[in-house]
Amino acid sequence: MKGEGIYEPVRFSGFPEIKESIVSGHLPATFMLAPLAMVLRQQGVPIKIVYLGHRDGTAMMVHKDSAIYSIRDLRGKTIAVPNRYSNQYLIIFKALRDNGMSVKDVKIVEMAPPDMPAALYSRSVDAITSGEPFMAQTQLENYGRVLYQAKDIWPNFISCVLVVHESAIKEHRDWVQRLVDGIASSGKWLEGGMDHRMMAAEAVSKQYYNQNPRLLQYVLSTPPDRITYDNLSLARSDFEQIEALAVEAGILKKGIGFDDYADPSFSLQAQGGKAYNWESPK
Amino acid sequence: MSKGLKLASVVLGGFLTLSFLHVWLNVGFENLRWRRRAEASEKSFRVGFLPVT
Repeated sequence: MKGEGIYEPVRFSGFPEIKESIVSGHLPATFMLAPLAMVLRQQGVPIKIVYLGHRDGTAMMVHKDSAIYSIRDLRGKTIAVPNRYSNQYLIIFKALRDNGMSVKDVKIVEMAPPDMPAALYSRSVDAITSGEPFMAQTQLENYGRVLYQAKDIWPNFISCVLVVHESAIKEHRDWVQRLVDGIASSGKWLEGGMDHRMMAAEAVSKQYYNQNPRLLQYVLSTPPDRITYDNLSLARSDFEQIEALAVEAGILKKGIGFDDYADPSFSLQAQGGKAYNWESPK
Repeated sequence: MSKGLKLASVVLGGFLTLSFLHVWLNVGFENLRWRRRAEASEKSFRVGFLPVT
């Protein structure tokens, strides 16, 4: 197939570096926190959100010996988030607001997700929240306890989205479409059974994440809906919800809309595709 | 053409010739960084990610 093998995954350890790489044009595409992409677009960076990476897959973890058992117990505590411009920040904002509190009642610090488990273990922070598998790592290593799963507070939670530079959309539209098609069909394949998830955990942990396969196997199975990979199309209502919350939280200014920061055409074209026929490399 | 202009032309011509020979013999045109980058970007599409779901 034309274009097969052109995609080069580039691994980062923090969102600030990803942001700089897409702003400078070093990366034509990247997975990024949805509110961060909206804010960059508002600042004039020529990017568009074209697809989702997954849904759900975020939790808030506290130390298993801590006295934090509810949102109200977070008063005065320090919480690590991956970035101020993240849905993890917005879900804290929402959860505190729903419990009659505000972000002024807690201390929020930004931290790269790979550093979060050690910070919780050493109790230099009271709670951590990011995408998996770093939350599950604290459970597997027996010092973390789930305070909440994002899906229980914000159903169909969106964390990372696929962002593409507008020059790449203009010059290599077919490559962008093929990438979106690939994510869509891989997602369908992942939802095709637990054996598929286990095969993916084994391959991805070794080839891309450099993590213990047992960790990803745990994340993709406990519970099975901890992360979902179907329904990755861009839905205007989902983003308008994020937008409204981000404006209310003061991380996004009014005046930007779905049509400014999103291009749903790739997502629409990917609909109806078949599941990827993938076999784990021997 | 004045004597000064002739001299300047000879110096500039010599400088350009030496520069060309240096790049050709010591660096090689195929190894120029901008050219490698342009060729690489023609063939690959980098996608950034963090090892989170």
